[in-house]
Amino acid sequence: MEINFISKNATKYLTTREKIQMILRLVRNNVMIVLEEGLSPEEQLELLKETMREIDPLRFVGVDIISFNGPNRLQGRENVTSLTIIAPGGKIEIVKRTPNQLSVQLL
Amino acid sequence: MSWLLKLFGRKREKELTLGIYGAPNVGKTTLANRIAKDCGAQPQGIISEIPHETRAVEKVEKLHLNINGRVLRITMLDMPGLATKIDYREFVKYGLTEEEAIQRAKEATKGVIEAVKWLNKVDVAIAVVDSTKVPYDQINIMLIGTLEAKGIPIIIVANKIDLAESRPHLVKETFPNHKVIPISALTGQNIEKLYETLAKLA
Repeated sequence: MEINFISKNATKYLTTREKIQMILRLVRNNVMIVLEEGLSPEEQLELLKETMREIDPLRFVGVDIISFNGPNRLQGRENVTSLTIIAPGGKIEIVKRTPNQLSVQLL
Repeated sequence: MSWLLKLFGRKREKELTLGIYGAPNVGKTTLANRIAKDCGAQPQGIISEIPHETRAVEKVEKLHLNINGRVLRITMLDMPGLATKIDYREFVKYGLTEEEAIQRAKEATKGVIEAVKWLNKVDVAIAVVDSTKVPYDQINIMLIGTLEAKGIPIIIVANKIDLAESRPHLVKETFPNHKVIPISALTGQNIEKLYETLAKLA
C-alpha cells in the first residue's frame, strides 16, 4: 500500500470539505495518508459522515482513522490533533498506543 | 416569574432531548430500554449481538423521569452505532446470507449519517463506552471531542460493569475532564447515579 505523508503546508488553506474530498480520493485508491496537521474531532466526524455516503459494500468498506496527539493533547483536553492517519478500512491495525508512541501494522 | 425561580431554586420541570451515542455494541439500546422502562414506558429497541442492529434513530417521546422531586420530560434518541467502516463480511460471520449482510451494511451507513446529523439537535448526550474494552478508541475520541466543541453537555457512561473484565477506572482515566458514571444498563446497577447526574446537567 502506498503511504502519503502530507505536510501542514499542503492542508492549511483547505476547507474541511476540500480536505475530506482529498482524503477520500486518495483512500479510495488504496493510499494511506499521514496528515502532519491532523483533523479535529469535528472534521473526523464529518469525514466519517462523508465516508458513509461513499461506502459501496463490494468495493469500498470505509476508512480507519487514527489520531496521535502526543502526551499533552491526549484525553480530550484539546480539540486539535497533531497527527492523523487515514487508511482504507481494514488495512491497518493498532499494535500499541501510548501517549508517547503509536505502533501501527499494515495488514 | 423568573426572579421567583432564581429566588427559590431551579425549575422543577425540564424538557430535554437526550441523545444516546457510541460505537456499535456498547449497549446503547440496552440503556435506552432501561431508561424507557424506568420512566414507565415500553422498551422498544431490539438488542442483538450482531453489530448495527439499530440502523435508524429510535425516538421515544414524552418520557417522564422523576429524580428527587425534579421531573425531566425527555425525548430520547437511541442512535445507530458510529463507525468509520462497515464491512458486510462481518455480518456474514454471524450467519446472515450475503444478500442480507449487504442490505444491512447499506442501512447501517444511512443510520450513521442520520446519527451525526442529529448531533445538532440534542440538549444532553450520553456517550456510552464499553468498559470491557480499551476506552481510547477513535470513535470515542471524535464523538466526545465534537460534543465538547459544540458545547453539548456530555455524560460518559462506562457500561457493562456487571462483567468480570470491566475496567471502568480506565474510562475515568482516559476522560478525566468529564463525568464518568460506571453502570450496567443490563442489570440497572448504579443507574440512579446516572439519573442524578442527568438531573444536575439538564
